[in-house]
Amino acid sequence: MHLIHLSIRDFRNIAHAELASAKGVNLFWGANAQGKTNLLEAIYYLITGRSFRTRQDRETLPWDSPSDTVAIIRGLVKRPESQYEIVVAMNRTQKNVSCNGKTLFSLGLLWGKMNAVLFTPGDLEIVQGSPGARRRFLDMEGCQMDHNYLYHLQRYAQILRQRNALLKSSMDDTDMAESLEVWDEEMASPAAEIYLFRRKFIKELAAAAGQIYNGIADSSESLDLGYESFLGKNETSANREVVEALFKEIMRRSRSEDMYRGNTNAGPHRDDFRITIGGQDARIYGSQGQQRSAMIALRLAEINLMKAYTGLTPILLLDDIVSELDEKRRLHFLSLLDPNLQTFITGTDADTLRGALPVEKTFQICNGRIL
Amino acid sequence: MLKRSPTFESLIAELNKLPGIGRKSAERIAYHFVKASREEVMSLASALKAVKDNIISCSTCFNLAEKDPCPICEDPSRDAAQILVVEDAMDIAAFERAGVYKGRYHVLQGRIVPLKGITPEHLRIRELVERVRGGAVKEVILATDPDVEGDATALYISRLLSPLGVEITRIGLGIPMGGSLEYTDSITLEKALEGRKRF
Repeated sequence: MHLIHLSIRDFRNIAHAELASAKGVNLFWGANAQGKTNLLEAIYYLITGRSFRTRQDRETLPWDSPSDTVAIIRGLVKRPESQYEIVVAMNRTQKNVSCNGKTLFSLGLLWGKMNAVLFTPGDLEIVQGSPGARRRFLDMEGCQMDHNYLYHLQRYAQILRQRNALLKSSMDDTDMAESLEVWDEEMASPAAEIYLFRRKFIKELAAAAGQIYNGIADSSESLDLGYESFLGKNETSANREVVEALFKEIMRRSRSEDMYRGNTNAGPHRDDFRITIGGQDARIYGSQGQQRSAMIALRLAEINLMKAYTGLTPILLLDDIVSELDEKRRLHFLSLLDPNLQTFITGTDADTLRGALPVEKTFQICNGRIL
Repeated sequence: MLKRSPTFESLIAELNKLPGIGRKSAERIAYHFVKASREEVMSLASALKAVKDNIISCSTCFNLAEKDPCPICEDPSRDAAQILVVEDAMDIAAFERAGVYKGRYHVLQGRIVPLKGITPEHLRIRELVERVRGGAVKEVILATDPDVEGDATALYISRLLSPLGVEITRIGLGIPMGGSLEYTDSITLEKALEGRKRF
Protein backbone atom coordinates (compact mmCIF):
# COMPACT_ATOMS: atom_id res chain seq x y z
CA MET A 1 0.00 0.00 0.00
CA HIS A 2 1.40 3.38 -0.99
CA LEU A 3 0.51 7.02 -0.92
CA ILE A 4 1.52 8.05 -4.41
CA HIS A 5 0.42 11.65 -4.48
CA LEU A 6 -0.32 14.24 -1.83
CA SER A 7 -1.80 17.68 -2.31
CA ILE A 8 -2.41 20.21 0.46
CA ARG A 9 -4.10 23.60 0.54
CA ASP A 10 -4.41 26.01 3.46
CA PHE A 11 -3.30 23.61 6.14
CA ARG A 12 -1.14 24.93 9.04
CA ASN A 13 1.65 26.99 7.45
CA ILE A 14 1.23 25.29 4.08
CA ALA A 15 -0.62 27.50 1.60
CA HIS A 16 -0.18 25.01 -1.19
CA ALA A 17 1.93 21.92 -1.69
CA GLU A 18 1.98 19.03 -4.11
CA LEU A 19 4.24 16.06 -3.95
CA ALA A 20 4.63 12.79 -5.79
CA SER A 21 6.04 10.46 -3.20
CA ALA A 22 8.35 7.50 -3.71
CA LYS A 23 7.35 3.95 -2.85
CA GLY A 24 10.30 3.65 -0.51
CA VAL A 25 11.80 6.18 1.88
CA ASN A 26 10.79 9.84 1.57
CA LEU A 27 12.71 12.45 3.52
CA PHE A 28 11.25 15.81 4.54
CA TRP A 29 14.28 17.88 5.24
CA GLY A 30 14.62 21.44 6.48
CA ALA A 31 15.35 23.68 9.45
CA ASN A 32 13.08 23.69 12.49
CA ALA A 33 9.58 25.23 12.31
CA GLN A 34 9.38 25.11 8.50
CA GLY A 35 6.44 22.69 8.23
CA LYS A 36 7.97 19.20 8.06
CA THR A 37 5.74 17.78 10.75
CA ASN A 38 2.74 19.51 9.18
CA LEU A 39 3.23 17.29 6.13
CA LEU A 40 3.21 14.17 8.30
CA GLU A 41 0.15 15.48 10.11
CA ALA A 42 -1.60 15.92 6.75
CA ILE A 43 -0.82 12.32 5.80
CA TYR A 44 -2.08 11.18 9.20
CA TYR A 45 -5.36 13.01 8.51
CA LEU A 46 -5.81 10.94 5.35
CA ILE A 47 -5.45 7.77 7.39
CA THR A 48 -7.39 8.52 10.57
CA GLY A 49 -9.33 11.70 9.80
CA ARG A 50 -7.67 13.27 12.83
CA SER A 51 -4.54 15.03 13.93
CA PHE A 52 -1.96 13.45 16.20
CA ARG A 53 -1.14 16.84 17.70
CA THR A 54 -4.52 18.30 18.61
CA ARG A 55 -8.12 17.30 19.12
CA GLN A 56 -9.33 20.60 17.65
CA ASP A 57 -9.40 20.41 13.87
CA ARG A 58 -9.70 24.18 13.60
CA GLU A 59 -6.24 24.60 15.11
CA THR A 60 -4.84 23.11 11.92
CA LEU A 61 -6.12 25.98 9.77
CA PRO A 62 -3.58 28.71 9.07
CA TRP A 63 -3.71 31.00 12.12
CA ASP A 64 -4.01 34.25 10.15
CA SER A 65 -6.45 32.97 7.51
CA PRO A 66 -9.91 34.44 6.85
CA SER A 67 -12.76 32.73 8.70
CA ASP A 68 -14.12 31.00 5.61
CA THR A 69 -10.86 29.21 4.82
CA VAL A 70 -11.15 25.54 3.93
CA ALA A 71 -8.16 23.28 4.46
CA ILE A 72 -8.01 20.53 1.85
CA ILE A 73 -5.81 17.46 2.03
CA ARG A 74 -5.97 15.14 -0.94
CA GLY A 75 -4.19 11.82 -1.22
CA LEU A 76 -3.99 9.22 -3.95
CA VAL A 77 -3.54 5.76 -2.48
CA LYS A 78 -2.50 2.67 -4.34
CA ARG A 79 -3.43 -0.71 -2.93
CA PRO A 80 -2.61 -4.01 -4.61
CA GLU A 81 -6.10 -4.34 -6.06
CA SER A 82 -7.21 -0.75 -6.51
CA GLN A 83 -6.41 2.90 -6.38
CA TYR A 84 -8.43 5.53 -4.61
CA GLU A 85 -8.52 9.14 -3.67
CA ILE A 86 -9.16 10.33 -0.13
CA VAL A 87 -10.03 13.94 0.55
CA VAL A 88 -10.23 15.62 3.95
CA ALA A 89 -11.74 19.10 3.84
CA MET A 90 -12.34 21.21 6.92
CA ASN A 91 -13.18 24.72 7.92
CA ARG A 92 -13.52 26.21 11.40
CA THR A 93 -16.69 24.28 12.22
CA GLN A 94 -16.98 21.29 9.92
CA LYS A 95 -15.02 18.44 8.45
CA ASN A 96 -15.84 16.32 5.45
CA VAL A 97 -13.99 13.14 4.59
CA SER A 98 -14.60 11.48 1.26
CA CYS A 99 -13.31 8.50 -0.65
CA ASN A 100 -13.52 8.56 -4.46
CA GLY A 101 -15.90 11.48 -4.24
CA LYS A 102 -18.34 9.83 -1.81
CA THR A 103 -18.69 11.36 1.63
CA LEU A 104 -17.85 9.00 4.48
CA PHE A 105 -20.40 9.60 7.19
CA SER A 106 -18.26 8.31 10.02
CA LEU A 107 -14.53 8.20 10.52
CA GLY A 108 -14.96 4.47 11.14
CA LEU A 109 -15.50 4.07 7.40
CA LEU A 110 -12.14 5.71 6.73
CA TRP A 111 -10.17 3.61 9.18
CA GLY A 112 -8.50 0.64 7.60
CA LYS A 113 -8.48 2.06 4.07
CA MET A 114 -4.88 2.95 4.67
CA ASN A 115 -2.79 1.99 7.71
CA ALA A 116 0.09 3.79 9.27
CA VAL A 117 2.46 3.43 12.16
CA LEU A 118 3.48 6.79 13.54
CA PHE A 119 6.61 7.50 15.57
CA THR A 120 6.65 10.85 17.37
CA PRO A 121 8.63 12.22 20.31
CA GLY A 122 5.27 12.30 22.14
CA ASP A 123 5.28 8.49 22.15
CA LEU A 124 7.34 8.55 25.33
CA GLU A 125 4.03 9.28 27.06
CA ILE A 126 3.09 5.67 26.39
CA VAL A 127 5.89 4.54 28.64
CA GLN A 128 6.09 7.48 31.06
CA GLY A 129 2.56 8.83 31.11
CA SER A 130 -0.80 8.07 32.65
CA PRO A 131 -2.94 4.98 31.94
CA GLY A 132 -4.96 7.18 29.59
CA ALA A 133 -1.97 7.53 27.25
CA ARG A 134 -1.57 3.75 27.09
CA ARG A 135 -5.30 3.22 26.48
CA ARG A 136 -5.17 5.77 23.64
CA PHE A 137 -2.26 3.83 22.14
CA LEU A 138 -4.15 0.52 22.40
CA ASP A 139 -7.31 2.00 20.98
CA MET A 140 -5.72 3.87 18.08
CA GLU A 141 -3.87 0.75 16.98
CA GLY A 142 -6.71 -1.63 17.73
CA CYS A 143 -9.19 0.38 15.68
CA GLN A 144 -6.90 0.40 12.66
CA MET A 145 -6.51 -3.36 12.90
CA ASP A 146 -10.01 -4.49 13.78
CA HIS A 147 -13.20 -2.69 12.80
CA ASN A 148 -15.31 -4.52 15.32
CA TYR A 149 -13.09 -3.24 18.11
CA LEU A 150 -13.94 0.32 17.07
CA TYR A 151 -17.64 -0.54 17.12
CA HIS A 152 -17.46 -2.05 20.61
CA LEU A 153 -15.44 0.90 21.94
CA GLN A 154 -17.96 3.40 20.59
CA ARG A 155 -20.87 1.43 21.94
CA TYR A 156 -19.23 1.08 25.34
CA ALA A 157 -18.46 4.82 25.47
CA GLN A 158 -22.04 5.70 24.60
CA ILE A 159 -23.51 3.43 27.27
CA LEU A 160 -20.99 4.79 29.76
CA ARG A 161 -22.14 8.36 29.08
CA GLN A 162 -25.77 7.36 29.64
CA ARG A 163 -24.88 5.44 32.78
CA ASN A 164 -22.95 8.39 34.23
CA ALA A 165 -25.82 10.74 33.45
CA LEU A 166 -28.14 8.36 35.26
CA LEU A 167 -25.80 8.25 38.28
CA LYS A 168 -25.76 12.05 38.46
CA SER A 169 -29.56 12.31 38.20
CA SER A 170 -31.77 12.80 41.21
CA MET A 171 -33.58 9.48 40.96
CA ASP A 172 -34.28 7.66 44.22
CA ASP A 173 -32.00 4.76 45.08
CA THR A 174 -34.32 1.85 44.33
CA ASP A 175 -35.33 3.17 40.91
CA MET A 176 -31.73 3.95 40.10
CA ALA A 177 -30.55 0.49 41.06
CA GLU A 178 -33.22 -0.97 38.81
CA SER A 179 -32.19 1.22 35.87
CA LEU A 180 -28.49 0.52 36.46
CA GLU A 181 -29.19 -3.21 36.11
CA VAL A 182 -30.32 -2.54 32.55
CA TRP A 183 -27.33 -0.41 31.53
CA ASP A 184 -24.89 -2.85 33.17
CA GLU A 185 -26.45 -5.72 31.29
CA GLU A 186 -26.10 -3.82 28.02
CA MET A 187 -22.57 -2.75 28.83
CA ALA A 188 -21.40 -6.30 29.58
CA SER A 189 -21.19 -7.35 25.95
CA PRO A 190 -18.97 -4.51 24.63
CA ALA A 191 -16.92 -4.62 27.86
CA ALA A 192 -16.18 -8.31 27.30
CA GLU A 193 -15.32 -7.73 23.63
CA ILE A 194 -12.94 -4.91 24.56
CA TYR A 195 -11.34 -7.08 27.24
CA LEU A 196 -10.86 -10.04 24.90
CA PHE A 197 -9.35 -7.88 22.17
CA ARG A 198 -6.95 -6.06 24.50
CA ARG A 199 -5.91 -9.28 26.19
CA LYS A 200 -4.99 -10.93 22.90
CA PHE A 201 -3.46 -7.77 21.45
CA ILE A 202 -1.24 -7.05 24.46
CA LYS A 203 -0.02 -10.63 24.48
CA GLU A 204 0.95 -10.47 20.81
CA LEU A 205 2.45 -7.03 21.21
CA ALA A 206 4.54 -8.27 24.15
CA ALA A 207 5.89 -11.21 22.18
CA ALA A 208 6.88 -9.04 19.21
CA ALA A 209 8.21 -6.09 21.22
CA GLY A 210 10.20 -8.32 23.56
CA GLN A 211 12.26 -9.72 20.72
CA ILE A 212 12.87 -6.32 19.15
CA TYR A 213 13.85 -4.77 22.48
CA ASN A 214 16.75 -7.12 22.99
CA GLY A 215 18.12 -6.03 19.64
CA ILE A 216 17.92 -2.29 20.30
CA ALA A 217 18.85 -2.14 23.93
CA ASP A 218 21.59 -4.69 23.52
CA SER A 219 21.03 -6.00 26.99
CA SER A 220 19.83 -9.32 28.24
CA GLU A 221 17.00 -7.78 30.26
CA SER A 222 13.67 -8.64 28.80
CA LEU A 223 10.77 -6.35 27.98
CA ASP A 224 7.32 -7.57 28.87
CA LEU A 225 3.78 -6.23 28.94
CA GLY A 226 1.06 -7.13 31.42
CA TYR A 227 -2.60 -6.30 30.94
CA GLU A 228 -4.10 -4.65 34.01
CA SER A 229 -7.76 -4.95 33.21
CA PHE A 230 -10.91 -4.24 35.14
CA LEU A 231 -10.86 -7.92 36.04
CA GLY A 232 -7.63 -7.45 37.99
CA LYS A 233 -3.97 -8.01 37.27
CA ASN A 234 -4.12 -11.74 37.02
CA GLU A 235 -5.18 -13.35 33.85
CA THR A 236 -8.66 -14.74 33.76
CA SER A 237 -10.85 -16.59 31.38
CA ALA A 238 -10.94 -15.93 27.66
CA ASN A 239 -14.53 -17.08 27.53
CA ARG A 240 -16.97 -14.35 26.57
CA GLU A 241 -19.82 -15.45 28.84
CA VAL A 242 -17.50 -15.79 31.83
CA VAL A 243 -16.08 -12.29 31.26
CA GLU A 244 -19.57 -10.81 30.89
CA ALA A 245 -20.65 -12.44 34.15
CA LEU A 246 -17.52 -11.18 35.94
CA PHE A 247 -18.10 -7.68 34.57
CA LYS A 248 -21.67 -7.63 35.85
CA GLU A 249 -20.48 -8.89 39.22
CA ILE A 250 -17.89 -6.07 39.41
CA MET A 251 -20.52 -3.49 38.47
CA ARG A 252 -22.82 -4.81 41.20
CA ARG A 253 -20.04 -4.62 43.77
CA SER A 254 -19.10 -1.04 42.89
CA ARG A 255 -22.68 0.12 42.51
CA SER A 256 -23.03 1.83 45.88
CA GLU A 257 -19.73 3.66 45.39
CA ASP A 258 -20.78 4.62 41.85
CA MET A 259 -24.04 6.03 43.19
CA TYR A 260 -22.21 7.92 45.92
CA ARG A 261 -19.66 9.42 43.53
CA GLY A 262 -22.02 9.90 40.58
CA ASN A 263 -19.53 8.22 38.28
CA THR A 264 -18.62 4.79 36.97
CA ASN A 265 -15.52 3.60 38.81
CA ALA A 266 -14.80 0.26 37.22
CA GLY A 267 -14.65 -1.00 33.67
CA PRO A 268 -12.49 -1.06 30.53
CA HIS A 269 -12.35 2.75 30.57
CA ARG A 270 -9.94 2.37 33.51
CA ASP A 271 -7.76 -0.34 31.95
CA ASP A 272 -3.99 -0.07 31.75
CA PHE A 273 -1.04 -2.18 30.81
CA ARG A 274 2.26 -2.43 32.66
CA ILE A 275 5.54 -2.23 30.78
CA THR A 276 8.31 -4.05 32.59
CA ILE A 277 12.01 -4.28 31.84
CA GLY A 278 13.80 -7.05 33.66
CA GLY A 279 10.66 -7.52 35.73
CA GLN A 280 10.60 -3.90 36.97
CA ASP A 281 8.03 -1.28 36.08
CA ALA A 282 9.62 0.77 33.27
CA ARG A 283 7.49 3.82 34.05
CA ILE A 284 8.98 4.12 37.53
CA TYR A 285 12.36 2.41 37.42
CA GLY A 286 13.33 2.59 33.73
CA SER A 287 16.23 4.83 32.70
CA GLN A 288 15.69 7.40 29.95
CA GLY A 289 17.48 5.10 27.52
CA GLN A 290 15.43 2.06 28.52
CA GLN A 291 12.18 4.00 28.22
CA ARG A 292 13.10 5.23 24.73
CA SER A 293 14.09 1.75 23.63
CA ALA A 294 10.85 0.34 25.00
CA MET A 295 8.82 2.94 23.15
CA ILE A 296 10.56 2.17 19.86
CA ALA A 297 10.19 -1.57 20.40
CA LEU A 298 6.43 -1.08 20.87
CA ARG A 299 6.10 0.87 17.65
CA LEU A 300 8.22 -1.56 15.66
CA ALA A 301 6.17 -4.44 17.05
CA GLU A 302 3.07 -2.61 15.92
CA ILE A 303 4.31 -2.76 12.31
CA ASN A 304 4.47 -6.56 12.50
CA LEU A 305 1.04 -6.80 14.10
CA MET A 306 -0.48 -4.43 11.57
CA LYS A 307 0.75 -6.66 8.77
CA ALA A 308 -0.55 -9.78 10.49
CA TYR A 309 -4.00 -8.34 11.26
CA THR A 310 -4.75 -6.52 8.04
CA GLY A 311 -2.61 -8.34 5.48
CA LEU A 312 -1.39 -4.95 4.28
CA THR A 313 1.92 -3.26 4.82
CA PRO A 314 1.49 -0.01 6.73
CA ILE A 315 3.04 3.33 5.88
CA LEU A 316 5.63 4.56 8.37
CA LEU A 317 5.54 8.13 9.59
CA LEU A 318 8.60 9.14 11.60
CA ASP A 319 8.50 12.56 13.16
CA ASP A 320 11.87 13.75 14.36
CA ILE A 321 12.28 10.47 16.14
CA VAL A 322 16.00 10.05 15.67
CA SER A 323 16.76 13.24 17.52
CA GLU A 324 15.52 11.48 20.64
CA LEU A 325 18.17 8.79 20.40
CA ASP A 326 21.89 8.79 20.84
CA GLU A 327 24.09 8.08 17.85
CA LYS A 328 24.42 4.35 18.45
CA ARG A 329 20.73 3.70 19.12
CA ARG A 330 19.80 5.89 16.17
CA LEU A 331 21.81 3.90 13.66
CA HIS A 332 20.60 0.65 15.09
CA PHE A 333 16.99 1.80 15.02
CA LEU A 334 17.22 2.96 11.41
CA SER A 335 18.80 -0.34 10.42
CA LEU A 336 15.75 -2.15 11.84
CA LEU A 337 13.33 -0.38 9.50
CA ASP A 338 12.20 -2.36 6.50
CA PRO A 339 13.18 -0.21 3.47
CA ASN A 340 10.40 -1.88 1.48
CA LEU A 341 7.78 -0.08 3.55
CA GLN A 342 6.79 3.32 2.33
CA THR A 343 8.30 5.73 4.85
CA PHE A 344 8.00 9.44 5.47
CA ILE A 345 10.65 10.73 7.80
CA THR A 346 11.42 14.27 8.95
CA GLY A 347 14.86 15.53 9.95
CA THR A 348 17.13 18.51 10.11
CA ASP A 349 20.23 16.54 9.29
CA ALA A 350 19.80 15.10 5.81
CA ASP A 351 23.27 13.58 5.53
CA THR A 352 23.02 11.34 8.60
CA LEU A 353 19.63 10.06 7.52
CA ARG A 354 20.75 9.48 3.96
CA GLY A 355 23.72 7.59 5.31
CA ALA A 356 21.58 5.27 7.37
CA LEU A 357 18.52 4.82 5.16
CA PRO A 358 18.08 4.20 1.43
CA VAL A 359 16.34 7.56 0.90
CA GLU A 360 14.64 7.57 -2.47
CA LYS A 361 13.31 11.11 -2.58
CA THR A 362 14.22 14.17 -0.56
CA PHE A 363 11.84 17.10 -0.24
CA GLN A 364 13.32 20.27 1.14
CA ILE A 365 10.79 22.18 3.21
CA CYS A 366 11.17 25.90 3.73
CA ASN A 367 8.56 28.24 5.18
CA GLY A 368 5.63 25.97 4.37
CA ARG A 369 6.76 25.31 0.82
CA ILE A 370 8.37 22.36 -0.87
CA LEU A 371 11.40 23.66 -2.73
CA MET B 1 -35.94 47.32 7.72
CA LEU B 2 -38.50 44.55 8.02
CA LYS B 3 -35.99 42.47 9.97
CA ARG B 4 -36.02 44.92 12.86
CA SER B 5 -39.79 44.63 13.28
CA PRO B 6 -40.58 42.86 16.58
CA THR B 7 -43.53 41.05 15.01
CA PHE B 8 -41.35 39.70 12.26
CA GLU B 9 -38.55 38.80 14.69
CA SER B 10 -40.86 36.86 16.98
CA LEU B 11 -42.25 34.89 14.02
CA ILE B 12 -38.68 33.95 13.05
CA ALA B 13 -37.94 32.95 16.63
CA GLU B 14 -41.01 30.67 16.71
CA LEU B 15 -40.20 29.04 13.37
CA ASN B 16 -36.61 28.55 14.47
CA LYS B 17 -37.84 26.28 17.28
CA LEU B 18 -39.26 23.76 14.78
CA PRO B 19 -37.34 20.55 14.10
CA GLY B 20 -35.03 20.84 11.11
CA ILE B 21 -35.53 24.60 10.76
CA GLY B 22 -32.42 26.70 11.20
CA ARG B 23 -32.20 30.46 11.43
CA LYS B 24 -31.87 30.95 7.65
CA SER B 25 -34.85 28.73 6.79
CA ALA B 26 -36.88 30.43 9.50
CA GLU B 27 -36.18 33.81 7.89
CA ARG B 28 -37.08 32.50 4.47
CA ILE B 29 -40.38 31.03 5.68
CA ALA B 30 -41.26 34.17 7.66
CA TYR B 31 -40.62 36.28 4.59
CA HIS B 32 -42.82 33.92 2.58
CA PHE B 33 -45.70 34.49 5.02
CA VAL B 34 -45.32 38.23 4.72
CA LYS B 35 -45.64 38.00 0.96
CA ALA B 36 -48.36 35.32 0.92
CA SER B 37 -52.07 36.13 0.70
CA ARG B 38 -54.14 36.49 3.85
CA GLU B 39 -56.18 33.34 2.99
CA GLU B 40 -53.10 31.21 2.60
CA VAL B 41 -51.73 32.23 5.98
CA MET B 42 -55.09 31.89 7.71
CA SER B 43 -55.60 28.40 6.33
CA LEU B 44 -52.24 27.35 7.79
CA ALA B 45 -53.10 29.01 11.09
CA SER B 46 -56.41 27.15 11.31
CA ALA B 47 -54.73 23.87 10.37
CA LEU B 48 -52.31 24.39 13.25
CA LYS B 49 -55.14 25.21 15.61
CA ALA B 50 -57.09 22.14 14.49
CA VAL B 51 -54.13 19.92 15.31
CA LYS B 52 -54.18 21.05 18.90
CA ASP B 53 -57.98 20.97 19.13
CA ASN B 54 -58.61 17.61 17.50
CA ILE B 55 -55.57 15.36 17.81
CA ILE B 56 -55.23 13.50 21.04
CA SER B 57 -53.28 10.48 22.07
CA CYS B 58 -55.23 7.22 22.49
CA SER B 59 -55.59 6.39 26.18
CA THR B 60 -54.87 2.72 25.49
CA CYS B 61 -51.96 2.66 23.05
CA PHE B 62 -50.90 6.36 22.96
CA ASN B 63 -51.07 6.49 19.20
CA LEU B 64 -52.13 9.83 17.75
CA ALA B 65 -55.84 9.88 16.89
CA GLU B 66 -58.86 12.12 16.59
CA LYS B 67 -60.92 10.02 18.95
CA ASP B 68 -60.30 7.82 21.94
CA PRO B 69 -59.86 4.86 21.64
CA CYS B 70 -58.02 5.13 18.34
CA PRO B 71 -59.26 3.27 15.22
CA ILE B 72 -56.64 0.55 15.64
CA CYS B 73 -57.53 -0.19 19.28
CA GLU B 74 -61.20 -0.22 18.31
CA ASP B 75 -60.82 -2.46 15.26
CA PRO B 76 -62.10 -5.95 16.26
CA SER B 77 -60.20 -7.55 13.38
CA ARG B 78 -56.87 -6.63 14.97
CA ASP B 79 -55.38 -9.25 17.23
CA ALA B 80 -55.50 -8.03 20.83
CA ALA B 81 -53.13 -10.81 21.92
CA GLN B 82 -50.17 -9.14 20.20
CA ILE B 83 -48.70 -5.77 21.13
CA LEU B 84 -45.98 -4.14 19.09
CA VAL B 85 -44.05 -1.63 21.20
CA VAL B 86 -42.61 1.37 19.36
CA GLU B 87 -40.89 4.60 20.40
CA ASP B 88 -43.02 7.08 18.46
CA ALA B 89 -46.36 7.28 16.68
CA MET B 90 -44.38 7.84 13.48
CA ASP B 91 -43.14 4.24 13.74
CA ILE B 92 -46.76 3.03 13.67
CA ALA B 93 -47.26 4.90 10.40
CA ALA B 94 -44.33 2.95 8.95
CA PHE B 95 -45.80 -0.43 9.97
CA GLU B 96 -49.28 0.56 8.78
CA ARG B 97 -47.96 1.66 5.40
CA ALA B 98 -46.36 -1.75 5.06
CA GLY B 99 -49.69 -3.33 6.06
CA VAL B 100 -48.02 -6.45 7.39
CA TYR B 101 -48.93 -6.28 11.06
CA LYS B 102 -52.37 -7.30 12.28
CA GLY B 103 -52.01 -6.85 16.04
CA ARG B 104 -52.20 -3.81 18.32
CA TYR B 105 -49.58 -1.20 19.18
CA HIS B 106 -48.15 0.59 22.18
CA VAL B 107 -46.35 3.91 21.79
CA LEU B 108 -43.75 4.65 24.47
CA GLN B 109 -43.55 8.33 23.46
CA GLY B 110 -39.76 8.24 23.58
CA ARG B 111 -36.91 6.11 24.85
CA ILE B 112 -34.74 6.00 27.93
CA VAL B 113 -31.98 8.64 27.60
CA PRO B 114 -30.44 9.54 30.97
CA LEU B 115 -28.26 12.18 29.25
CA LYS B 116 -31.42 14.09 28.38
CA GLY B 117 -33.03 13.31 31.72
CA ILE B 118 -35.50 10.86 30.17
CA THR B 119 -36.08 8.04 32.63
CA PRO B 120 -38.63 5.18 32.52
CA GLU B 121 -41.27 7.20 34.33
CA HIS B 122 -41.33 9.74 31.50
CA LEU B 123 -42.42 6.98 29.12
CA ARG B 124 -45.65 5.02 28.80
CA ILE B 125 -44.10 1.93 30.32
CA ARG B 126 -46.35 1.68 33.37
CA GLU B 127 -49.37 1.78 31.04
CA LEU B 128 -47.89 -1.05 28.97
CA VAL B 129 -47.43 -3.19 32.08
CA GLU B 130 -51.06 -2.51 33.03
CA ARG B 131 -52.22 -3.57 29.56
CA VAL B 132 -50.29 -6.82 29.81
CA ARG B 133 -51.62 -7.43 33.35
CA GLY B 134 -55.08 -7.07 31.84
CA GLY B 135 -54.59 -10.63 30.60
CA ALA B 136 -55.57 -10.67 26.93
CA VAL B 137 -51.99 -10.17 25.74
CA LYS B 138 -49.91 -13.21 24.76
CA GLU B 139 -46.96 -11.62 22.98
CA VAL B 140 -45.14 -8.31 23.28
CA ILE B 141 -42.88 -7.44 20.34
CA LEU B 142 -40.23 -4.87 21.22
CA ALA B 143 -39.54 -2.70 18.16
CA THR B 144 -37.47 0.12 19.62
CA ASP B 145 -34.54 1.28 17.47
CA PRO B 146 -31.53 -1.11 17.44
CA ASP B 147 -29.08 1.33 19.02
CA VAL B 148 -27.73 1.88 22.53
CA GLU B 149 -30.76 3.71 23.94
CA GLY B 150 -33.32 1.66 22.03
CA ASP B 151 -31.72 -1.59 23.20
CA ALA B 152 -31.62 -0.37 26.81
CA THR B 153 -35.30 0.59 26.64
CA ALA B 154 -36.22 -2.84 25.24
CA LEU B 155 -34.14 -4.55 27.93
CA TYR B 156 -35.78 -2.50 30.69
CA ILE B 157 -39.27 -3.39 29.47
CA SER B 158 -38.45 -7.07 29.04
CA ARG B 159 -37.25 -7.21 32.65
CA LEU B 160 -40.50 -5.67 33.87
CA LEU B 161 -42.71 -7.93 31.77
CA SER B 162 -40.96 -11.25 32.17
CA PRO B 163 -42.56 -12.08 35.57
CA LEU B 164 -45.99 -11.68 33.93
CA GLY B 165 -45.61 -14.82 31.86
CA VAL B 166 -46.09 -13.15 28.51
CA GLU B 167 -43.95 -14.02 25.50
CA ILE B 168 -41.45 -11.22 24.82
CA THR B 169 -39.76 -10.93 21.43
CA ARG B 170 -37.37 -8.43 19.86
CA ILE B 171 -37.86 -7.39 16.27
CA GLY B 172 -35.36 -9.12 13.94
CA LEU B 173 -32.08 -7.37 13.26
CA GLY B 174 -29.86 -7.97 10.28
CA ILE B 175 -29.47 -7.56 6.57
CA PRO B 176 -31.99 -5.31 4.81
CA MET B 177 -34.10 -6.89 2.07
CA GLY B 178 -32.54 -6.46 -1.34
CA GLY B 179 -29.24 -5.78 0.43
CA SER B 180 -26.03 -7.42 -0.58
CA LEU B 181 -24.06 -9.54 1.88
CA GLU B 182 -20.85 -8.27 0.44
CA TYR B 183 -21.60 -4.66 1.44
CA THR B 184 -22.95 -5.47 4.89
CA ASP B 185 -20.76 -4.39 7.80
CA SER B 186 -19.38 -7.07 10.07
CA ILE B 187 -21.48 -6.16 13.13
CA THR B 188 -24.73 -6.38 11.16
CA LEU B 189 -23.61 -9.73 9.75
CA GLU B 190 -22.88 -10.97 13.25
CA LYS B 191 -26.38 -9.96 14.40
CA ALA B 192 -27.94 -11.51 11.32
CA LEU B 193 -26.14 -14.76 12.01
CA GLU B 194 -27.19 -14.75 15.66
CA GLY B 195 -30.80 -14.28 14.60
CA ARG B 196 -30.79 -17.00 11.93
CA LYS B 197 -33.89 -19.16 11.46
CA ARG B 198 -34.47 -22.80 10.62
CA PHE B 199 -35.06 -23.20 6.91
